[in-house]
Amino acid sequence: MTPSTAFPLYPTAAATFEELAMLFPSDVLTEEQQELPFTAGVSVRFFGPKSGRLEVRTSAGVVPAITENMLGAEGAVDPQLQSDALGELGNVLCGNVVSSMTNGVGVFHLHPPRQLDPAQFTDLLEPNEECVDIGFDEGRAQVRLFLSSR
Amino acid sequence: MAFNVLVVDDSAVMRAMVTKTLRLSGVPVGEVYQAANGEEGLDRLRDHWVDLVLLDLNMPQMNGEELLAEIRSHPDTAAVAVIVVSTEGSEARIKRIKDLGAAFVHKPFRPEELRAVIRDLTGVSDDTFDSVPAVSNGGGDF
Repeated sequence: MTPSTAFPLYPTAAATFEELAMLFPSDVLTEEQQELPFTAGVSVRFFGPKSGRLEVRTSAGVVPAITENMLGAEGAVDPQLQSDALGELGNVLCGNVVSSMTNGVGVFHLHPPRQLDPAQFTDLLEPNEECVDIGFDEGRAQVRLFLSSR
Repeated sequence: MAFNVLVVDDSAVMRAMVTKTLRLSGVPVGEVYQAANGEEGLDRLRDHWVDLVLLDLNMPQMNGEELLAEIRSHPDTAAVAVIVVSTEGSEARIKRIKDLGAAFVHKPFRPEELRAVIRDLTGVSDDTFDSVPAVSNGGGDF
């Protein structure tokens, strides 16, 4: 994790996963969790007092669990609803992060969530980009916050 | 009494989650109608009797703030109880919403928070909630 955005990303990200998706987060990942590849991702761009994007990447098993928990359903859930659930989680997480960054001052505009192709993922971080890893029983997630202006 | 509810959100999963949370809150629920944007929401309001609207802010075509203004501008719907359910953090925007007579609930939210807001907004007491069994309705579930 780099301090490039000067924003405590982990607490907001962990709380959103826990309260919205009922997944219990840990900031200490096992070696096995750290090696899990990401199989899904979503990006939400925002504009306002600060501009940038928030990205959520997840390993296999996390998105089905998010979807089942949000819907209160058990068993296989339609892939379209899984994409919707991940998008909504990204949207809520982005909304909470940008609100926290400015303590309620100024209006942010969030773009609709955009699904990402995991084949395009790299580990590289841009300047002004922060990244936190979150472990769950179901796998791991990575949340990336990029700020294009300060 | 049981509330007929309209849930307006562009996410199908969030509409289902709001409906589920509403049922868990213990508030007696009658019919649950859904809409994916403000325009669809207005259509549902024209076609059905609705006591309570739960709406998101950021939606395509007609956003939640525009829908709220439309609701307040029509005599038939001006007095409908409205709760905005959003991640919005702007104090100025939340004030605009409250000035239009709507309550605000921050996402994510818990059943007891929703129950308290509905109680405050509608003036229906907890005793009344608890004395009326919630009506089971599959309309809001997937």
